[in-house]
Amino acid sequence: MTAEVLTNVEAVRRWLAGQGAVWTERWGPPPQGIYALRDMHPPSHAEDACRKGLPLVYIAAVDRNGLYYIFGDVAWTSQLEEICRAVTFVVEVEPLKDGLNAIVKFVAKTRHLPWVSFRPEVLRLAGICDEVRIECEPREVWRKMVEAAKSKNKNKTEAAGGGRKAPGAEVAGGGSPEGSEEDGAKTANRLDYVGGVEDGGAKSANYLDHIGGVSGQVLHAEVRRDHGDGGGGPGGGVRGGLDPAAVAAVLKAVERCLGREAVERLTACLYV
Amino acid sequence: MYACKPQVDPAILIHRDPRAWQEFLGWRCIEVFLERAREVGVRDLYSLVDYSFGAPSTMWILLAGVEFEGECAPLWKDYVRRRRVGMGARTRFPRVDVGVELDVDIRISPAYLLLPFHDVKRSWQRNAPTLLRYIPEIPTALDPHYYISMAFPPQLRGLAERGYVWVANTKSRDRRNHALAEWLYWLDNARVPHIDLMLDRFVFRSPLDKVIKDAEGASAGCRQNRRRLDGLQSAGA
Repeated sequence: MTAEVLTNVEAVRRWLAGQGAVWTERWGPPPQGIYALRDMHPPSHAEDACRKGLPLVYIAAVDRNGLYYIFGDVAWTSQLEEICRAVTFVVEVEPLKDGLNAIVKFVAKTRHLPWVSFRPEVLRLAGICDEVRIECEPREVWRKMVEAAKSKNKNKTEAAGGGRKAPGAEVAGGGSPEGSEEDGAKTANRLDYVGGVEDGGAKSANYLDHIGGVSGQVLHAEVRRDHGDGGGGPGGGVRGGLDPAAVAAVLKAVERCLGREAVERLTACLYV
Repeated sequence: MYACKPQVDPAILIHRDPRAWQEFLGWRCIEVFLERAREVGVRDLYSLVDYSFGAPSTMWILLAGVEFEGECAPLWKDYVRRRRVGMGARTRFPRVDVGVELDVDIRISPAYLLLPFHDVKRSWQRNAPTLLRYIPEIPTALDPHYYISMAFPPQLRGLAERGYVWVANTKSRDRRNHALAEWLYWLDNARVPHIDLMLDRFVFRSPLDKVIKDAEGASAGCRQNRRRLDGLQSAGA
């Protein structure tokens, strides 16, 4: 978070004017409402900007029932009152979905925030989950998708290297060949049942391998199609044929700068 | 503005049955709810039920400012204004000695999906660790039924074949598994069992389930749920 990002009043003004929004600008902290960001920065993050005399910018989207959705980097506290000035843009959003959608996208773009930074409820109300459903899916689904994509890529690389697999070997497990060996007994039977009902432990595979919502199903279908085609084809590997070494270097940098989650998202995007 | 007079607790928001909504909420409530939900693209009762079922944790936002009246009003006000929902099971399953113990720790009922997961994550971690082991992040705002159905361990889903009453009467650490039985019922039917009981639409999975019809006060009313919620608060939960 930089001072520039926190305090760019003019950018907000220009954007609101460009949108033709009904809005008022007032000096002071935001009203009570629902903070749209999931994890707010602690007040200490704003102190530098405040000491320079720059204001904290908030957008307060208000719906027709008078409920405020607050967009800002720092949750306003009494601690900030003495050192910070705040400016709040109160924007009327009607219909709620479209209004919120525009503001969420604006904030995400100007603050360089991934969707995961926003409260899932706000994303859902703003219709973001309808547009990019994958962004709202549980992280467990993401993890499985990335694993499946990696496995797919690995198998393709192996196939290209001369090794030929039996058809269906990859489809059955949804994971790597090594991983599929521990599949049912080890990973699925973590729940210890004491009582004597037929629990079907042996037949119960690792169910999460098949999670994926809409995107997961598409991914699964792609794997099958590739097998049918005999492997290869334009669908596989890193999107755009990027050099794997370069991708690895970029991912390493992303992990260092933005964290593990960003890596997972980027990897999924590159491979799916 | 008309006040809404619901005849049922907020768990109906994850009960995918428009007839039950008509029955227990009535058109006055439904109109008020629809008026709010039209802002996010909902058109009619059916899409309202779908939206609520698919994004339960957004409903406290959509219903903000709605006036509630009647016996169930305190539960709705607790939910909409204070974001509080009772954690425990709503259904009073009859007591049957099945003599089975499960190594399961799920004490939260599906109705808890009405609260944003990130706001009550610790409650989930403490009271439903078995569930979180399989789906660490409950998507309360995006089709929880779909994702939880996928992630719910098949061994547990399979227990429903013995009947929900049987599951409810198995024990885990000296507690009966009422909440687990509610989850299984909800996953199987997309409806919550106590509302189905109130409408005499409970779906039996085994002959043992039929005893639920004879159970006294099988459908927990709002007063009872309210008492449970009060009990939880006074216990500091």
